[in-house]
Amino acid sequence: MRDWLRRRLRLQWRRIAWLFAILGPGVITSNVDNDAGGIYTYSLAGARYGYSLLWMLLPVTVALIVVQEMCARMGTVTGKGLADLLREHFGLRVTFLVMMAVLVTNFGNAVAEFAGVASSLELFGISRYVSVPLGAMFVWWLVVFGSYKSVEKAFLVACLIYAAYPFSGLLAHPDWEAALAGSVVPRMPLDFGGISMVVGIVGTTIAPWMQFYLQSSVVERESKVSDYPQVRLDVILGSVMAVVVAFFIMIACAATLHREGIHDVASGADAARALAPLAGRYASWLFAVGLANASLFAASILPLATAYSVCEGLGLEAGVDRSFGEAPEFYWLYTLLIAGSAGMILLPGAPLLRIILVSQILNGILLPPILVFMLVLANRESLMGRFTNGRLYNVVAWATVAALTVLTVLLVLTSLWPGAALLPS
Amino acid sequence: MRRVIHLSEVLDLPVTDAELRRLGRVDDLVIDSAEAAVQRLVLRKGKERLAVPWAQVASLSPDQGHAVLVEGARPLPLDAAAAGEGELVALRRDVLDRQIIDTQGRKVVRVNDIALEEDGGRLFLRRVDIGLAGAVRRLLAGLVAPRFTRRLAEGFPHRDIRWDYVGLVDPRSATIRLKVHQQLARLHPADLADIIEDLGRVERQAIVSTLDLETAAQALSETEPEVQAAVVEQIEPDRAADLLEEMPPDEAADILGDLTEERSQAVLEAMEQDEAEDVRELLAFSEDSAGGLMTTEFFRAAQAWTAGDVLEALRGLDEAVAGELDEVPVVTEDGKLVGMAPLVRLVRVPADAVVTAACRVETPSVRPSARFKEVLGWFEKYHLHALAVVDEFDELLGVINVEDVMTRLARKR
Repeated sequence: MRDWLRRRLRLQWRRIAWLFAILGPGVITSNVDNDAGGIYTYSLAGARYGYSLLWMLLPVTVALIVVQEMCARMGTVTGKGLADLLREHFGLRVTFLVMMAVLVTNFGNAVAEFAGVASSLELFGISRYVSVPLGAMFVWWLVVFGSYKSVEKAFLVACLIYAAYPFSGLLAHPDWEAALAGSVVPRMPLDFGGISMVVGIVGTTIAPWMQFYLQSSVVERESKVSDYPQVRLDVILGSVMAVVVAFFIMIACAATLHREGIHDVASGADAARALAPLAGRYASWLFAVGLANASLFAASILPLATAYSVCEGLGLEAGVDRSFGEAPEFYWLYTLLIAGSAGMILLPGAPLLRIILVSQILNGILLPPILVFMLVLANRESLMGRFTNGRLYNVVAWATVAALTVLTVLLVLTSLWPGAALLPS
Repeated sequence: MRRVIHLSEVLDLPVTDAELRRLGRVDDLVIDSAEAAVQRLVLRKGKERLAVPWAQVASLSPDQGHAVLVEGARPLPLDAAAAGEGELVALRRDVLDRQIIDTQGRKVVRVNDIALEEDGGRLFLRRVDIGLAGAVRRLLAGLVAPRFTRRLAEGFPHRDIRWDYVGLVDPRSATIRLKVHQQLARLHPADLADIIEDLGRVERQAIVSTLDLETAAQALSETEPEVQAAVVEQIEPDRAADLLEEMPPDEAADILGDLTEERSQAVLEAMEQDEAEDVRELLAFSEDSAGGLMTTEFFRAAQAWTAGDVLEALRGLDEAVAGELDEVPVVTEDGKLVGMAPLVRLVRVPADAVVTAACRVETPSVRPSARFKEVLGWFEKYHLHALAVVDEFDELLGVINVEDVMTRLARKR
């Protein structure tokens, strides 16, 4: 009997170990995607539209998987980052322009993350003058002194904390029937605010930095071409996880805020605060902990992704496996991004909203060209050999690009439209 | 001072004939691999690309903003001019924006710009630019006056590499291939390993196939295990087998263990019979056990020898086996372990003393199934340089060297 148990446990353990071995860049990237801005957008969608926008999550998942899978495949097959490939196939000037746009965008995004750290921890009575500098130092220390493997492990642990959202969602006692109906029946709110909500959900889920980060970390992980199915599984798993979290944030807010007629929240922290009287203290705490974790997590990845791609594109040494002396530009860029964006939060009267807004518009402008570049590269036989996109895949991918382009144009327009703008905070 | 022209300044300039009638734009410059002198100019006219021999280029001046051909110059279609292309290098196509190896600085860099030096009416490739100054020139080329760009670029850190020290990763020219091979073969295998790790997938394969088997095997065994498997997986089984035969069997086994079952079988079948046999035995052991750590290809001394005999035998030993040897296992006639004789003690005892006189007092040994922790414990306790691995009859199976332990320790962190 004991032998049987031992064997059984060993088998189970092997399965878990196998799962952990494949969990990696895909899961990390997708989870970072649910950052401060993302959590805010999903909260708002739940508060304003209840369960009625849940159906969107399915097509968003497909689009997310299609886009990310291309990056992971290119990284595995070529052994080069996206910025490297841009440089080799489209020249220095195009690469430089893209990199500068990525730099500005991600600076804005990083500011939004530190704002998330500040506001969520203030719910627990921690001053931002404590939480932001400590948070910034922690993420800086982690990347500068950790090796790729230890950094990845820390990030994977952060991914587990996202489980706070499903619990928070369950504590809110959602109306499962309504949630199911909302998930399968597509209903499009046709007013201006509704369209910008839909655009916001898509825009916050698929962002340009993700493609660069994902491909670089797939490369740094040195997966064999024959291991590609595992890499793909990681990407799919990550995308699904990200959307599941989004789902629970939406239903948590739908079951409480929306039902009680609270249709507006100003930030992720605001949503957490509003949850307390409706779903109880614990749901509120879980929500806030999730937000703090997500913000901190994204605050460490975004500057990292930026430093990676800029250095790659300009031919400078990069990588967390290198020391400060080996890759000075990489580490300086990373350090300045963190210090700069954290500093912004602490600076009284800094134009935070405008920085975040501009970065979001740039995000939108940047995404379609990057996706087109990716599709061109992924179809180039001299580069990808037998791993080019299949025909069906191309149809899906181009349709995704077309839909995203239309949506991001809409997003940019709505962001420019005063009053109707979808501002994360 | 000789005039220096940067490739960024001349690419896309208009090309005209002697009467200044527009023919097209500068698309590329082509050098020969022997002298690195520009041999022809490639011009682009719509989608068509034509080649002009350098002798027919009257002037090429960034400041005047055009390239002028001599009277009666006749650009030929690229295909017709491409005879003997193998020895030529097209600068934009093959060098600019590519990963190259700085064979002096021993690392992989990317080319931002290329400096050409004028000498007696000819143009020679002297340096490739990898610094920010080159990037600035590229970004501004064609947008502002070259004079302004030059002055601005001077304000940025300047980093370049002499062409002699540039290793093209995937050269079409046999001469350059040879040059790269010679330069790389002079590098320490560990440096070469770092270079291989920095390259993209295709470039890695190109380098590994440029090197001779021995150098490639040495470099490969210094790379990270993930990289080893990723590289070997992409090589034809026959060549992969040749490569693995050059490595110590324990390392070959580690690499094969990381490949798919199918692939590793294919490689094993392509290997020499006895080499494959050694590797197969090692493959059976867990990577983290003494069996997985040990090598089965090692030098051993017979119990009856004198210390002098041993030293004599060592002098005649194959370099590959001798390289990692710090302690000599001493065995009985039927292969049972008697003791381990450190080299220093072998040298210090009289030449006519029996070899056992040089053996350590304590002779620890482990079974192949022993865990790494136990192995490490013995090394630490007795300050060993090598540990014997024996079977249940005390018969010597293999030796774990201190290097193997170090490598495993470094990878565990």
